[in-house]
Amino acid sequence: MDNMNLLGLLFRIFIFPGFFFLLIAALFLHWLDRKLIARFQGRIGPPWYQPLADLVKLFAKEDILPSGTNLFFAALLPLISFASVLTASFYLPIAIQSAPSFQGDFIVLMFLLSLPSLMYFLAGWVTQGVYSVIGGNRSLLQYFSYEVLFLLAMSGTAIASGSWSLADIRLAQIKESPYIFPQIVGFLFSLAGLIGKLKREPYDIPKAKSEVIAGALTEFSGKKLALWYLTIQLQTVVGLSFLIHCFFSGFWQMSTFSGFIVFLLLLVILQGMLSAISAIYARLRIDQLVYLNWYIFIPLTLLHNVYILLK
Amino acid sequence: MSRITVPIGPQHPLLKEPLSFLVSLEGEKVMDSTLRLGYVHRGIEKLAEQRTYIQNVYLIERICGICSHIHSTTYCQSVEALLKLEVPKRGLYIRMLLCELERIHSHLLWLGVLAKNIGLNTLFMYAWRDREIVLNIMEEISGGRVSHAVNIIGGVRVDLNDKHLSLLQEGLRELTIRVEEILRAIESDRSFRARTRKIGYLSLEDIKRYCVVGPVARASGLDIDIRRDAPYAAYNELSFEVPLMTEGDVWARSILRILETIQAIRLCTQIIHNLPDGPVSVSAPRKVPSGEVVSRAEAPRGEVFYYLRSDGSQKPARLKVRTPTLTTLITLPGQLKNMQLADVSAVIAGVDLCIACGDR
Amino acid sequence: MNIEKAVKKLQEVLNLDRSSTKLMPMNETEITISKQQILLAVKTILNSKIWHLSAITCQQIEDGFTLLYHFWKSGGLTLRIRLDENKPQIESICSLIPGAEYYEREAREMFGIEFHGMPNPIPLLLPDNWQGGYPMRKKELPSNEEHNSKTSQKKGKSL
Repeated sequence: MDNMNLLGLLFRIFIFPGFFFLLIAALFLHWLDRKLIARFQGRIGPPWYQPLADLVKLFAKEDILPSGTNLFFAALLPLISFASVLTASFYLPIAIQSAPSFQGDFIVLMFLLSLPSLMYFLAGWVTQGVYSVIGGNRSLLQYFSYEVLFLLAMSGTAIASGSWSLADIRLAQIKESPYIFPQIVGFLFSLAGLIGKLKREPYDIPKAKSEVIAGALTEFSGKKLALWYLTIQLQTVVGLSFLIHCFFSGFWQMSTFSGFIVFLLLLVILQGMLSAISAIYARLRIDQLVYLNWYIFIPLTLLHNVYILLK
Repeated sequence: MSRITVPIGPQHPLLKEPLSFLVSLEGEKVMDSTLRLGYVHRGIEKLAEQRTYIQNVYLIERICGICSHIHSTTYCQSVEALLKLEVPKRGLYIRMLLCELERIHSHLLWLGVLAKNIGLNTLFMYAWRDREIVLNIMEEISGGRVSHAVNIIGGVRVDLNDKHLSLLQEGLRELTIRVEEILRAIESDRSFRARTRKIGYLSLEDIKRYCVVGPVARASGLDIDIRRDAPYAAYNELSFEVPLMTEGDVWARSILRILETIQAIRLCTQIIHNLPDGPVSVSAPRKVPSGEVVSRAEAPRGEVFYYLRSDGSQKPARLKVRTPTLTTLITLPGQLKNMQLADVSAVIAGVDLCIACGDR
Repeated sequence: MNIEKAVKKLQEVLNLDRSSTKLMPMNETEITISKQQILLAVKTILNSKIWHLSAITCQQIEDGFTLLYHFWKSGGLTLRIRLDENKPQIESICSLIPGAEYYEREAREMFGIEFHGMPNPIPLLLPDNWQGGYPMRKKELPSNEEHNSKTSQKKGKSL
């Protein structure tokens, strides 16, 4: 590999569309989320630099964990989830493709995006606090319902395109039309699954403040907590990009400036939908959530997939 | 299945005031719970014995930060009964006005707390935004947003002028619209219903056995309201309805409290329309003749009870305060049994605890 | 009126003469009974469809304690009971009115009244390791003077 190529690769990994761009996008979306919810609720909301300020402050804070915690694992878990989300971002063609697409990268992406939830559960287990354990258990209970929903709803696009490769899903959409029109149901259920992944209202059961303080993250502080927060914020960007790629590709040309703008616009619109849902609904109870997902959402998604298969 | 004990309080995001709750869980199910008060016990009953009757008016207001006015009203009522003082009509009307404003303020505050606890932050923000209207009116009238110091023995300290009246009319009109909107919203919202229906159920028998008062009792179908059944101040001159529900769960309590808020707004409007002329207070002697008196009033949370014994000196010999929170606290372990942990927050919010009142 | 009926019934059942009943201001009727009659009296009151116990007031007077049981139904009915200074004790009414539990516990902590058959005799308001005697008492009883003398001196200063 010659020098130019290596530099280009490094640029792609660290600057654009890699880490730096993701970070900016994550902080921006987080700010947008808080601002939108505040406006929905009749408040003013934070200034634009608030998420960054929060993050910097948290990184500077003292890092305390309860005695008896396995320090190695407590440090490892946020790192793994952070790394898995970052890795996931390389497979996603955000404006340009960072890593070459291959048959089955759809599944890899699914796996990488679900790793943080598992780490979240383990984090509750490792720190041993009573709220952490309950929060971790709840996240695992929730995990089984939304993860299945997310996978089923998203795989509708793979079924329609006849391939488990992200590039093929994109090509199929350019050839026909974006999947958002024929698969609007699948899109909505994917969004519901993503909300569960991100533990946003109304799926914020594992970190319900009035019940289990901050769930599995109750005992975390300082850098580790900052890393957890950053992971969730990055996960928002990656998850939404995944949705955009699978349902909205075909609206724009890859690697052109106008295409990039369309992509950003879609990101903002989807974030707006997430914020609105957060503001409208009350938190569900765990049994209500499981019922809703297994008895209503998942059967409907299955029917939807069968319909796509037969078409 | 092994049990784990989850401490809720004395410091917990669920509670705005310190109260210790030990909930033992099997999975997510609450098997047992124990309750411990006393984290804000200030010994007010004892302190009252060391202070003069006039100083006590201000001490008594500090029992609670939300329903401070009703406490001083009930206290002043009892002292006035011992003194056989006739408070001027205008004074009584202003007292009632503050009582009803306080009820609006307390119910909206409570709705916000409940909404926050079930994760419905938008409703929380809306309820507290609308509460600002009442707080501003009260600040304009008395100079204080929550501690008004309006009552004195023999009447009230402030008088209403035209500016106050126009402010009140405007504010109440605005508030009626907002509260009716909130009522529509929570009646129709499915996620609110899902989190509050069939939660924290209390039957009419339980209510009677535990002597529960106020909105919690009325939401279970017990028709009890001191304002109507044993009118104090000048409530017998006003017309109002006492809303009643029979479901007995948190949802019923929410709807009932909003209906009560609407009634309270109506009462306020009546009061400012029928405000009599004349002085607002009469002067009271410092020494109170010996005797005993029992005084009751309807606080936002239900019946508040005062017992006062005077031995003829400047200081009370015994002052007993019973706040409505004590009656609802005792029902909590029963309400929580076999609930899910997620419902604990809704149940605790649903009975509208005021720990400072309970501890005194 | 419920209250009047209940008062008549009480006088009948407990064999009280008219002097035991007196009227207090603000529509309140008071009946003095002896401490052995408490359970019977409460049963009688409950039977006359008065179920609401507002509070139990305890206070120390010159030579003993009084307990006041305040009932309410559109009007007040108060039972007055004198307790002996040296052995302040009485039957608990929690078996009849479970809602009385907190009032009895408070009286027990603050005045040291012993309620027999109380379901939950643990501190309610005071700390678990409270050593300062009974805070609401005005004077110490001869029997526990030694036990309380230290803390009451400290209290006297701070007040």
